[in-house]
Amino acid sequence: MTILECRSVTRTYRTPSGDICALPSTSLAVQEGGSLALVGPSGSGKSTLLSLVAGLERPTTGDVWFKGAPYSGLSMAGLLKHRRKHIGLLTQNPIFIRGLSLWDNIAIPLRLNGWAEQSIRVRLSDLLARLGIADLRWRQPSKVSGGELQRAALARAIAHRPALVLADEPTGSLDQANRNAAAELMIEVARETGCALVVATHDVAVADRMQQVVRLAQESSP
Amino acid sequence: MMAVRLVVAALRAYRVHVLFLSIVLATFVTFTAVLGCLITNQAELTLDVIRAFRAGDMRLQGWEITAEDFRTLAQLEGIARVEPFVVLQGVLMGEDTHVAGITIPSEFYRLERNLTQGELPGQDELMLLDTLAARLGLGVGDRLSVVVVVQQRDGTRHSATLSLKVSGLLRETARVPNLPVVPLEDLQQQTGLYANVALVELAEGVEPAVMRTTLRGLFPSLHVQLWEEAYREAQRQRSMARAALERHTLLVTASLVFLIWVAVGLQARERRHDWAALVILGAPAQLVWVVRVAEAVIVCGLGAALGAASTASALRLLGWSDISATAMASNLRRAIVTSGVAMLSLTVVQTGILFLRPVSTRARQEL
Repeated sequence: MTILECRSVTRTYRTPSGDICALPSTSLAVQEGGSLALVGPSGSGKSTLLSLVAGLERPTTGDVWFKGAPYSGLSMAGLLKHRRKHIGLLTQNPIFIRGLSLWDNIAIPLRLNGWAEQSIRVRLSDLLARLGIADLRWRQPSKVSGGELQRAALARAIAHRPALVLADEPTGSLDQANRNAAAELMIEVARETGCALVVATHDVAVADRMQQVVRLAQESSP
Repeated sequence: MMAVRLVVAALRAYRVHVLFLSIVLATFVTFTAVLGCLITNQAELTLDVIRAFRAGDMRLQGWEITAEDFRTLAQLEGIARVEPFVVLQGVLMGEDTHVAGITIPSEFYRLERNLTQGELPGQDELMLLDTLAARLGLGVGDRLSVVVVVQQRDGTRHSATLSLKVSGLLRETARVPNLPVVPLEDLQQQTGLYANVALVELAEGVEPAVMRTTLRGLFPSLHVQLWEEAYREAQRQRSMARAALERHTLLVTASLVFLIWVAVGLQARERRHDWAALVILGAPAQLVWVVRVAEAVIVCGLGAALGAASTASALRLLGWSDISATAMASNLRRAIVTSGVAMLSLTVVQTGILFLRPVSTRARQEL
C-alpha cells in the first residue's frame, strides 16, 4: 500500500526581489515500510520537500497524499495533529529542548500522543537500550556527544511508532565513523519498526541503502 | 502536566544573564508605572483644586481675617464650607503657639497612618506623640489642660487654656510634628487666632458673582486684586497639571516601546529554538501558548515583585514614602490599571503576536 505520494508538488517563495522557486515540480511515492532517498545539490529543494511532507508548510501547486488522503483537505491544526501522530522527524542538527533530560525529550511525542507513563517507561527503556544510550537518559542534551545526540534524536523520531520517518541529512553533522554507524542504525531500526523512511542526503552510502532514490535537480528561479 | 514540565525546563534553560535582563526589564516597567502613577496623582490633586475653582468656588490667596470674621464667614447663608489656608503642612506659622493644627485631608491621612492607638481628634480633642504621652502618664481618653499663648498681629499676647481629651497617640517619626495636634478650625475658634482663608465653598445654586459682591460689602479686607491673583494661580496650576499628565503619558509610552522591543529580541533569541522544537514535534498550538505565556508571566511576575520592592525602597530613600502612600491610596485603581496594562502588553506582545510567524519560520529552518 502506498503510504506517501507527492503529486507534482512545487514550492515558490515570494520575496521583494521576485519569486524564488525552492522546489520544482516533483512527484514520488513511498510504499508502507519502504525507503526513499532524496539526493541532489544544495538548494535543489530536498529540505523544502521534507517540510511539505511534514506539513510544516503547504505546496504552491500539487498536493501531498498520506494513505490516500490529501493534505489539502486538512487545516493547519489538522496537519499539526497528523505530524504528531504519524510522522517522526530527524534533523541534521538534532533540536532538543534545553532543560529537559534526554529521557524527557524523547518522551515528548509519546506524551503529546497521550501515552500512559507506564507504557512510556516500557517503550523508552527498550528503545534506549536498543540504541545504546540507556545510561545517558538523565543527561542534559548539552552534555552528550554529537553521535549520542543523533541516536537520541532517532529514538525520539520513532518512539511513538510513526508510519513515516523523515530525515534531513541525518548523518551530516557526524564524522565518518559515526556517520556509517548512525546510517546503519537508522535503517535497521526503521526496518524493525516497519515505518517508511524518507531521507534527504548528500551521502551516497546512505542513498545506496534505500529502496528508491529520487534525484532533485537545481532549477534556477524564474 | 506536560506544560508544567516544559515551563520548569524552560526556566532551567534560561541563561542567567537573559533571565536577569528580563527581570530587570519587568522591574523597570513596574517602576515606570508607579512613578507615572505618582505624577498622575499629583497632577490630579492639582486638577481637583482647579476643578473646585472652576465649579464656582471662591479660591482666595492670603485673605487674612480674624477668628471672629472667620466664624461670620462660615455662618453666612450660601456658604457651605470655609477652608483655612495652612502653610507648612498644618503647623500654624507666624503665631507664637505650641500647638499644631491640622486641616487638609492629606495631613489627616499622614497622621492617621502613624496612629498607634485611638483615632483622629474631633472637637475638644487632641493627639499626642506616644513618647510624650508615656512621659506624662496619659492614655487615650484622658483629659489634659493645654495653655496656648497667642501673639496677635498688633503684638499683644494673650493665653487661652483649653481642656482637651486625648483621642489618639502617634508614633514618633520625622514627618510627625513634635507637638500636640488639634483640629485647626477648633483651635482658631477657641483662641481667636488669625486665619488665612484658602477656599470658600459655595452652597448649591449660589451664584459666585453675587456672593463675591456680598463678601466685598461685608469684609473690606477682601480686595478685588486677590481674585485676579487667584485666577492666575489657577491658570498656572492647570498648565502644570496638564504638562505633568503629558510627561506621564510620554514616559510610559516610551518605556513600553523600549521594553517591548528589547524583550522581544531577548526572548526570540533565547527561546525560539525550543518553541520550534515543540512545533516540529506537533505540539498543539495551545500547549505552546501556555508554555510561552507561563514563562513570560513568571519572569514578569518576578520582575514586578522586584520592581515594587525597589520602587518602595527608592521612594523611602528619597523621603517620598508618604507621598507615594497617599498616591496609591487615593489612586489605587489607576496604579493597578497602569501597571497591569504595562505588564499585559509586555506579556502578550512578547509571547504572542510577534512570535507566531518567527517560530513557524524557525521550525522550517530547523528542518
